[in-house]
Amino acid sequence: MNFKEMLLQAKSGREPAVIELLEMYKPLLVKYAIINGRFDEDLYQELCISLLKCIAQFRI
Amino acid sequence: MWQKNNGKSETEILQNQFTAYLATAVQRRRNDYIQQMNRRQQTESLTDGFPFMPECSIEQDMLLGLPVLMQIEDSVLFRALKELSERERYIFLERTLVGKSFEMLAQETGLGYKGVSAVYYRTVQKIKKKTEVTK
Repeated sequence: MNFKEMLLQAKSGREPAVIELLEMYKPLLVKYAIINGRFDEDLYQELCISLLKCIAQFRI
Repeated sequence: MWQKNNGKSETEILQNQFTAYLATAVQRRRNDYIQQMNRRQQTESLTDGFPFMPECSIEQDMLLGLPVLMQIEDSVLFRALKELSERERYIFLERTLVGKSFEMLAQETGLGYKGVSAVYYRTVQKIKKKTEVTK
């Protein structure tokens, strides 16, 4: 399954695709969730929500 | 391990676009979050650095070794705590404020686990009763 298919499936709400995207972008989210060298769990949660919003709003 | 692709095929271009889109959104959300956190820190006052004021204490002798009691403002609660026995007060305060477990308190006081928990819950009941009656 290539990225485009995965993204389309995630957009249509198929959970496995969403989970795969979340796993794929986890390092990026973790990187941005670090404030002053400390991992902020609340921020990580917020960023996960941002990812879900991005999937829904991104126009292909 | 995921790596940045070379962006040749259509789906790779799309992936790079999505990653950039996501990175921007995440960056903005992060900035908002940090701003919110700073604002919260400015408006909230921390209670950790509560000043230690020995001159305001009511009964110096009973407060020896128990500086926590000086910070209690509720006079009803204060009186209820004062009427407890030394052992009850110790177990109650260590349990509620320091957060020690019953096992640790049992070792310290020489009672059994059940003994300590019995003392603790009896003390809670006593304090409840006293604060209810006087209020």
